[in-house]
Amino acid sequence: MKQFIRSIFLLGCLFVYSVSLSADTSKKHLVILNWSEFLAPSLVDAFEKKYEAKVKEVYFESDDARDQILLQTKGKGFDLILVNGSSFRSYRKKGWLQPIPLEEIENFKYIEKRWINAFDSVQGYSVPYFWGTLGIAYRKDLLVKPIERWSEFFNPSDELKGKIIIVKSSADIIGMALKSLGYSANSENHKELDQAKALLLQQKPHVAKYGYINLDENSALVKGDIVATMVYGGDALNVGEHHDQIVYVLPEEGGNIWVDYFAMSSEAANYDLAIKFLDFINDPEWAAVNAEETYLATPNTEAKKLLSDEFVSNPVIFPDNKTLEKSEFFKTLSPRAMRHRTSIFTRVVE
Amino acid sequence: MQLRYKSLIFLTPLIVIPLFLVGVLSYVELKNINQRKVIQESNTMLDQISLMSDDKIKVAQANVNILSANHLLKQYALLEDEETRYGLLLSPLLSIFSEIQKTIPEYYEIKFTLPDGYEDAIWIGGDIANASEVISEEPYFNKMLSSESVFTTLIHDENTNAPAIFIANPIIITDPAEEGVAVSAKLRGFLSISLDLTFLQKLVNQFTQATFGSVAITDYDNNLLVWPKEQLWMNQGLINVLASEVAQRKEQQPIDSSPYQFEFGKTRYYAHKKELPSGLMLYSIVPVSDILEQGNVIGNLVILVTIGAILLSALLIFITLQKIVIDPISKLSNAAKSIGQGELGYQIKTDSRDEIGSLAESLNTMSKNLQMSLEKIYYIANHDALTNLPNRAMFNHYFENAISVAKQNNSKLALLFFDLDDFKQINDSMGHEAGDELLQELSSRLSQGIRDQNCMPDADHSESCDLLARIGGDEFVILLNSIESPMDAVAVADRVLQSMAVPMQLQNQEIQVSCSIGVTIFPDDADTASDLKKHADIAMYHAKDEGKNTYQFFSDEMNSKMLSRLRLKARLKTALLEKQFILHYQPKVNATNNSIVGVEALIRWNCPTEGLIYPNDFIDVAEESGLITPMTEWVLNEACSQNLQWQQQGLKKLPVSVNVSSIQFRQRDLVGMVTESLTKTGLDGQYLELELTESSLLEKSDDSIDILKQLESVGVRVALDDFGTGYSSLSYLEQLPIHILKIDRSFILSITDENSSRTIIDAIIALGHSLGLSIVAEGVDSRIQLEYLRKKGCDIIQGFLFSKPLSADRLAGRLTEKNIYIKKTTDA
Repeated sequence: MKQFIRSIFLLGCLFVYSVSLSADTSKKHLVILNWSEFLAPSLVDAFEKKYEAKVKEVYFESDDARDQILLQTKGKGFDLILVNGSSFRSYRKKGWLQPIPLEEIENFKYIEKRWINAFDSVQGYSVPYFWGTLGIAYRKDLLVKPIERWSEFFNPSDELKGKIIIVKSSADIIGMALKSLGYSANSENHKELDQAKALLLQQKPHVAKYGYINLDENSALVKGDIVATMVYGGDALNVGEHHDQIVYVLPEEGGNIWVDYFAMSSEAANYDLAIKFLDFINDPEWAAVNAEETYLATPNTEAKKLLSDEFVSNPVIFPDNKTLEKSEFFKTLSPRAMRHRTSIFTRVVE
Repeated sequence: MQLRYKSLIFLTPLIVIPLFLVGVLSYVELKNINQRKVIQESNTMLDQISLMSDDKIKVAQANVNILSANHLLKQYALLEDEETRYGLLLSPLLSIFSEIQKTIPEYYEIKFTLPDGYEDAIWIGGDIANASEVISEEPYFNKMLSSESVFTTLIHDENTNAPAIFIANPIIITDPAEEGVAVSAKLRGFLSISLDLTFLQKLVNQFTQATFGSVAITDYDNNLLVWPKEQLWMNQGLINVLASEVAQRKEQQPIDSSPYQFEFGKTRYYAHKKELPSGLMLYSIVPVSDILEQGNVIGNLVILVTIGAILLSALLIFITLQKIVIDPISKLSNAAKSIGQGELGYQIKTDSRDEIGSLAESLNTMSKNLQMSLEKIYYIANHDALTNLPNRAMFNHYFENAISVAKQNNSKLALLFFDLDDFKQINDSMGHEAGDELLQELSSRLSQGIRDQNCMPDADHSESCDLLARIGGDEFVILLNSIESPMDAVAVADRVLQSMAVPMQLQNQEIQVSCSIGVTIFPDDADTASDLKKHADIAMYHAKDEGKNTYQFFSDEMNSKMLSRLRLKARLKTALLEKQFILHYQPKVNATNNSIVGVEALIRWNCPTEGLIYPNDFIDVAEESGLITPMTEWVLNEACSQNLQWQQQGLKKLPVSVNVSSIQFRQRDLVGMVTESLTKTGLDGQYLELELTESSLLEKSDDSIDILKQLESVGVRVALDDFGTGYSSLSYLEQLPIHILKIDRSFILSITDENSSRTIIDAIIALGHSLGLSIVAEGVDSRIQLEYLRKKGCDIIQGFLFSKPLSADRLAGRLTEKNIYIKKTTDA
């Protein structure tokens, strides 16, 4: 009897939902799989107004998390997906992405050339969105001296022990561990990888969490429960809004240079709207607004011109070439190496 | 004492042997049971371990299946492109493996292996390093390849260098997207879980603790894999020996469930075997000594119990035998001994009805019979067969005793010897039979006359017990024990003669017999038995000389005494006939006013030859001869008529009191005599008093009261004479219808005697008055006595102080008015 009532109820809900859905099909929907704090709300509002559409963002915590989501969904339910450059190849291989007709995007012309082909397989399937570095954000008031090296992070002092968060991403963790040991972040050398594994395993007891910090005022970094965290540059500034003692450093050994692209899901339901969106966000003015509100480096040259000097000269947002000298892009690695890294990664974070 | 031990020695084995047998059987059986129990336990244990490990493996296999169906795994398996596989799918897959491994740590390795044997996605728990990344070289690989479903095998993991159970499931799936529906599924690889054997170790440890022996697990080749490490005796060598034993058995008897037996290092073991799936061999091994030890514990217990039972039964037997048989028997034995030693009549106390009880009863009967026989013998020895009188022997014995008793008590004995006059003639003329008959008749006559025949010759006997014995053919003897005076012997002698005087009927003839009696007195005549006997004999011959049919004392004195008594008797007879008696009267005076209130009549004998004789000299002879009755008759008549005469003369009317002897009171119709006298003389009864002694009233108590009442009814009053010298009870005194109490002279004397106490006289006066009697004091002869008696309230005084007994005329003179009051001028 209970079962019967339950199913009736469920059916009822479904009906209402579908009705509400259908009710809203008059309005077009755009579903974006994205990092949080990665898209200025004002931009979204403007877009929604302009095109009488509804924009929905689904957030992921890390690249790997996004991989999981896509493995599950195969891209269905999303229109646009925010993909980091190094993951592009495998995403395409999985068939989760479809080509983007760049000629239909007017404002594409403003994108800096260097990003368009920075990674394997990105061209023709993506629109560069933001770029930045991977470094360390820390509370300088809670440390004796400022952090300057990855090795300090991976061999935490007593002040740091138990107060570290590391991004739960294979490439980031292993890459930076390698760099702290003086190796390339893209090393495929077993010995080097094993050394990195050892380093990470001995750091493991002192890591509070493998994940990503909150960026709002409730952040553990704001509270002081966490003293240092591996973080993407823009996010450091974001959370830094809530506490003036939060500092971002790109360590001496160098960090990782990331580039994020917007890609079109092969299961995109609103292809046209998605195209329009891609164009919209690259409107220089809007691109500038987006950058300012997210503290991120825009690849849009025209938008850059519209940014304040202060913004443009912020080394966290727009690090100069010298700073970037030692940092690396993540390259596509050989399968066996990836396998090795994966097993190391799983070992470390599980 | 011997019997009890003897019986114990014989009976104990009867108990011991069965108990012992029971013990032995129990021991053996318990031991067997125990051994079987141990073996059974081993088997059960093996079964349990087998079940549990079976379970474990089944669960692991199920998990392998579940994991094989995992969506991600399937994706992973289908994805041939390494890049994507490793880049995207490997990480989440390893996460899954890792989760599983965290949940079930025993699944220490979970991996997906490609068909070529490459460990594509592998997760190993802990710090274990992966030695090689391929398993194609492993011995089980080919088998695994050919299996179409879950493949389970025991492996030796080179990574852990330990055995493990390897469970692999071939992933045979189609990729619907790529290869089309019609194509058959392809082998993509193997999903496997490696299960370590810690669970087996746990089981082994657990079971080893809980039961006997140990459990060992080996692989199919009998390599020892898991065993309880604390059991130091368990090692590969032992297993090898066991394995060969197993192999041997397999050849000979393929199926046999009994335990394997083998020896290793000088110890014997029992073992059971069981095969587990996945090629493991399970052994339970018990050192035989352990089993035996258990059995020994029980065995010792049985022995202890048996011994205890044996001891207990022995004790019980001993005690029971003792109580039921030995003790009664020894009691009987003691009784028999006592009886044998002369304690005849000893009766054994027994209340049991069993055989011993009846034996005791028989013994009792026998004892009693013996006693009776002895008594009979004794009797026969001591008594004359013909007459049943005591015989000479008994007499002699008795006589000796009587003499010693008489010596102790200072009493007199009288010995009377007598034989029949002319017995010989009777025997000759009438025959011995007649003679015997005569003797018997005589004996029975004589026996009746003797005071007390029921005496046993007993030195302790102090009663007055007389003996009549036949000491010869016609010779008899009478022993009179504790006589008052020789006169007692006379009475007896007279009686003997009297009894003989009655003729006897003998053979239809009337025969008259007589005897001659010789009397002797102890200690007067002699003080030894033999002397006394001699004297008695002599006295008897005297009697014969005197003409037979008489008695003679040994002492002449006695004889003369007897003679004079006889003469006196004759004279008294004459005196009575010739009225030689007269009465004197003694006045009784009122204590307060000294007036005469009565007189006592006292008899005197005016003997022509000897003058006035007082009653002391003749009363006893009179009583003895029976003359007292006519004398009393005469006294009564005389006193009454005299008193009447005085009254007729106009003198003061007063009672006259007459003494009545106790014999008179006892033997004759006193009341008749008195009433006759009163009637004859015409005197009113109230003027006659009778004076009776205490002793005369003591006997025949009911009759005495009757007689007194009758006297009272005719007006005659009675005085108790010599009061205080008899033994009357006070309650009796109260009952007696008497009127006057006369205090004996001896108490009157005590008033003036310095050495005597006056308490008795005071008491008598008080008693008498309290009983309502008037008190007369006799023998008053001094003023002091008179004063005292007056003070004490005595009523009447009689004595020399006032007057001696007077003749009738002189008394008459006293009774005239003028001389009523007497005043004695001289003090006594």
